[in-house]
Amino acid sequence: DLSNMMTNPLSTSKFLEEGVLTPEEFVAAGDLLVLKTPSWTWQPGNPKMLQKGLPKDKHYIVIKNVPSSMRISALESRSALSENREIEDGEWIATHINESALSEEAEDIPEIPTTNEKRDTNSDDDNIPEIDLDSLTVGDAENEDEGTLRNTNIVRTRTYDLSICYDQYHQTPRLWLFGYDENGKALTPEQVLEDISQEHVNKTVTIASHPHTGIPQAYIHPCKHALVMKKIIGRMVDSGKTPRVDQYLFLFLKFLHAAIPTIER
Amino acid sequence: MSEDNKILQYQPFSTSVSVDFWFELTKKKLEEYKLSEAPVYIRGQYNASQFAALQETQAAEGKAQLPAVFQIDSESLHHEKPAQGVQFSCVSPGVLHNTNTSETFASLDKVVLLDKVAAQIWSDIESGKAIEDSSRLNRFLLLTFADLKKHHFYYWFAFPALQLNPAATATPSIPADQALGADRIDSIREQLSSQSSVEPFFLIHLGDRPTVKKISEYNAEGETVFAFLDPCYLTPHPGWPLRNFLTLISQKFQLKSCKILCYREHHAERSSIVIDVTLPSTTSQNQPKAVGWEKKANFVNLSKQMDPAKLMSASV
Repeated sequence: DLSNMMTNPLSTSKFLEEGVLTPEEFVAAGDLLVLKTPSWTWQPGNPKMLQKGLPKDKHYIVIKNVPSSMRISALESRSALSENREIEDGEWIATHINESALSEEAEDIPEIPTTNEKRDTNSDDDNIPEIDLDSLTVGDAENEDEGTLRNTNIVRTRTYDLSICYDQYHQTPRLWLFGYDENGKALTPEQVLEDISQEHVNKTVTIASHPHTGIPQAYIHPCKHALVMKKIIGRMVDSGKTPRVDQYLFLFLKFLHAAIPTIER
Repeated sequence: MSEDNKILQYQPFSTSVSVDFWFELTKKKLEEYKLSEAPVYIRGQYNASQFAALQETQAAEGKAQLPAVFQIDSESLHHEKPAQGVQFSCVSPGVLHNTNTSETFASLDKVVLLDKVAAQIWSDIESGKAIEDSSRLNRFLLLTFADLKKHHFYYWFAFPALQLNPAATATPSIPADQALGADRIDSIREQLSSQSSVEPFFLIHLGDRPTVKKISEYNAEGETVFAFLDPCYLTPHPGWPLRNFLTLISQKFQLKSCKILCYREHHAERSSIVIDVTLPSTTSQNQPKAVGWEKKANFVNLSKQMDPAKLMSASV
C-alpha cells in the first residue's frame, strides 16, 4: 500500500478522542485477541511491505477455516466468554455492547463503489479438470473397510480465512476475507461478495491484493471505521464504562459483524 | 464382548487446503523442486476445539454437524520452522508427492504409496517411537499435481490407518461427564489447558484426582483411561486418529479392552465422549493392512486468483 509508506504512523494515542489506533496500540489489541482467542494467530509481515511501528513478526492476525455460518462475534473463545462472567461488571467490554446499537452504527458504513462483475462461477471453459477424477481408484480395501464411517449428516459450509492488518493511513484495523466453497475450493472475489449482505455489498467491500500475501481478496473499506469506533467508545463512556484500548479488536469485530452478517447464515 | 458392542466406526477427515498453500507450492516448484518428484516433508493439523461456539449454535438450532477438518496452508511447506501451536491443535507429520504430469498423478500406485507410510507408522509403533512422540501415529500423505500454466491443482490426501483384525468393537458412547464424572472432566480440562501444547494422544490415571500423563508413563497398575484430542463433532463416533492409537494400545500394552476418552472442547465441554473398546485377543506379527485414502481426488482452479490478466479485470 502506497499510503502506508507515505504517511508517518500515529505516535500519540487518540483512541478515546478519535477511535483510532497507534501501531503500538494495534499490537496490544492484537495480543489480547490472540491471547483470548488462540484460533487467531500473529503473522510476520512481508519483508518488502514492513510497516513502521509494527514488530516484524506481528504484522497481521489471521484465523483460518471459519465456517460461514458463524457469527464473527462468536469467535470469542469460550475461555474469553467465561472470563467475561468472572471479571467484574464494567471491566470487560464485550458484554456491554448491545446488538441493535451496533446495527445502527453499521448504517454509518460509507458507500464505496466496487466493480460488480457478472458472477460467472462455472462458465469458464478452463474450469474443467484435465484428469477424470471419477476414474481414479485406490483399491478395494478402502471400500470394504468396516471402520470407515460413511453417509453422516455432515454438511460442509463455505469457510473463510480472515485477516486483520493495520491500516496506517486510516489508523484503524482493516479486515480481509478469503472464502472457500462447500468443497474447500477457493471462491473468486466475486463469489465472496455473495456472502456479504446485499445492503453492504457495493458500499463497503473492495477487492485488492493482500499487502502481505499478495493474494487478491476482499476487504472491508476502513475509511469510516474510526468514526464508528469513536461513536461506540463515546457511548461506552456515556454509560460510565472505561473503554480499554487493548479491547479495540473485540469491539471492532462485533461492529463488523453487525455490518456484514455474512459469516452467519 | 458385551451384547451391545458394535464394530467401531471412525469419522474420516474433511480436508481443507488454504489458498496460500498453492501459492507457496507454486513458488517452491519453480524455485526449488523444479522437475524433482522426490517426496517432501510437510505438516498439517487438526483441532479439537476451534469452533466450539459455533458448534453450540448449530446444535441448538438442530443444524447439521460440522466436519472433522484437517488443514494445511503455506506454513505446511516449511516444516523446518517451529509449528504455530494453537491450543488443542495437533500438528501431524506428512509427506508430499508432487508429480510433474497429470498422467503420473493418475497412474501412481495409490496402494503402494499408502502402504509405505503405513509401514512407517507400524515401525514407529513396534520400536516404541510412537510412544515417545505420538504425533507419529498421525502421519499423512498428500499427492498433488500442479498445472502451473492453467493454475489448476489436483490433490488427494491419505490418512493411513492400520486395520485391526478382527476390527475393534465398542459399547455405545457415553457423555464423558456422565461416564467419568463432571468434576473429573473439569480437572482434566484444567490440566490440559495449563500445558503449553497438548500431545495428540495421552493417558489419564484415575484415582481420587485424575492425572493427565504421557503415554510413555503407562503402567498396568490402577485404572487408566486412554485419551486423544478428537477432531470429530459426532456424538456416537470417534474421529479417525483413534485408529492407529488402538493398534498401539493392542500391540504395545497388550490390552484386550480399554476405556477411551474422545476429548473435545466443543459445546461447553460437554461433548467429549467415553467408549469401552474391545480389541483383538492376539497381537499381530506382521504389518496389518492399511486404508485411509480420501474418497475422491480433488481439483481446484485458481486461474481467477493467479492469472495476471484475469486479476487486472477483477481489480478496482
